[in-house]
Amino acid sequence: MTKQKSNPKEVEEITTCKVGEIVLPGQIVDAVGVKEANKKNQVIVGPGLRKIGDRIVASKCGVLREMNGKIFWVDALGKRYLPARGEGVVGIVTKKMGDYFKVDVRAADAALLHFLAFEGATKKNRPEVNVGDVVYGKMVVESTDMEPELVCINDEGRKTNMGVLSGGFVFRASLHLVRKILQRDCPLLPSLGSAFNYESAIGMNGVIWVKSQDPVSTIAVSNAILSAETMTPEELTTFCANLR
Amino acid sequence: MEIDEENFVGWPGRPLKCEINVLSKPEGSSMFAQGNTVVMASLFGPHEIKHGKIQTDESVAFQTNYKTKVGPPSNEAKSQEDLIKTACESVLFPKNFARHEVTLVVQEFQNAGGILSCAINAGCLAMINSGIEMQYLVVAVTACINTDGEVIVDPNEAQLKVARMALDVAFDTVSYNIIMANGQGTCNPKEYKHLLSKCREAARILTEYFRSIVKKYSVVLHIHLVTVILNMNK
Repeated sequence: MTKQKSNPKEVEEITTCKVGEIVLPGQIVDAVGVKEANKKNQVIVGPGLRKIGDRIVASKCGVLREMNGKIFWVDALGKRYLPARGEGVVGIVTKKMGDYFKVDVRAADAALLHFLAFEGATKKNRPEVNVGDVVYGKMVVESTDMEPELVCINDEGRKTNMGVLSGGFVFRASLHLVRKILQRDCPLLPSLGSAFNYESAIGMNGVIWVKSQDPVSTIAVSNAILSAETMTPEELTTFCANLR
Repeated sequence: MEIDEENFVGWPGRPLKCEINVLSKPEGSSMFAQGNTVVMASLFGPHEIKHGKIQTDESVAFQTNYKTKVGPPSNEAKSQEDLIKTACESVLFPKNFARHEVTLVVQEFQNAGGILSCAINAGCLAMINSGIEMQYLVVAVTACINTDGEVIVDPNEAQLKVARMALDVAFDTVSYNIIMANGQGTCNPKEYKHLLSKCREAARILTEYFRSIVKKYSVVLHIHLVTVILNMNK
């Protein structure tokens, strides 16, 4: 098997692309903003883009997005989570390994959760975490070659809203759905909140935990979230208007 | 998510039909039809592999599983599997998955000629759906030379049966270099070159078809801030 890396000289400039347009893997991203930011060495490339030499090349199929004229990424479909530092995720404890818990966060590797990474935990006062528990925590990723780590405290040692989630219902959704409903402008969660009484933890890894008083509203909320996946913005708006 | 575009503009072959995200369990899945040849592909992973299987060289642990319509896998199916693997494996960044494994399962539904190129295209669409990082896309085209010396791109079963030379060839979508080629029959080098250039032309159109598929599903990706705010005010 030959693993050739395409020689930059041979690479053809396919098309010039703009922010908001479709990019395909291997395509050189030379949108106006990207080029300018790249020249000043100020460009920050997010998921779906790679810096190869002095060029920025797409590595995923999707829509090119831009923020503040400096940050660029590709919005793509996906189900498999790629751990990233600081993202809130919902995971299921699968194993106890000495000082660590192994947590399934839907990534390629299981995440590690140290027992001291809980609020108020000491060597003598161990937190009560069992296999099968659902936890909400933040990702700490030092290197992509190592297993990701999960913590349930912030920098000040407070738990804020992280920790073991008791009761409730856990289901899986695709990553693009989670990214969509967590956007500040998405009307889904506010309108669901006005229609039902429920608590939810939405992990960036596509695992969603919902808890409410009765099974009927739990099912209704989870179905509403899942059905938002294939909705266009217009459909979603009318859907949310009907909820109220 | 369903995409149905019969006779995509400029495509010289049989009608193309495609649906992605058809299965819920795999990370990416697709169903692809070129005329009456129909294939379903699904991509699992990347997931952890056991220590013994970790590759020492720089290759990806990429597995392909080709399933025929009926019966146990034959030798022919095994060779198809290897060819699909060659074409689809080269797309991934090898270093990303030092300890991980990716499995591509291809299920044959109907074979009316050109199953190999159809399977590779379906595999590529499954990879698009999974959102895995790729160096480029891979597109495959089948073409044949008939007894009159004419080139037919994406021939059907009857045309393939009487063909003098048939060629399945996969290209990358950046510089359109050949990733995989599989030929049967005889032809002279000049004819072969002509055949190849026809395939390359068709591959470019197929890339545009893939782009149109990505465009169609990208509608559901994002909330368009302006439209939402406007509709809320109404």
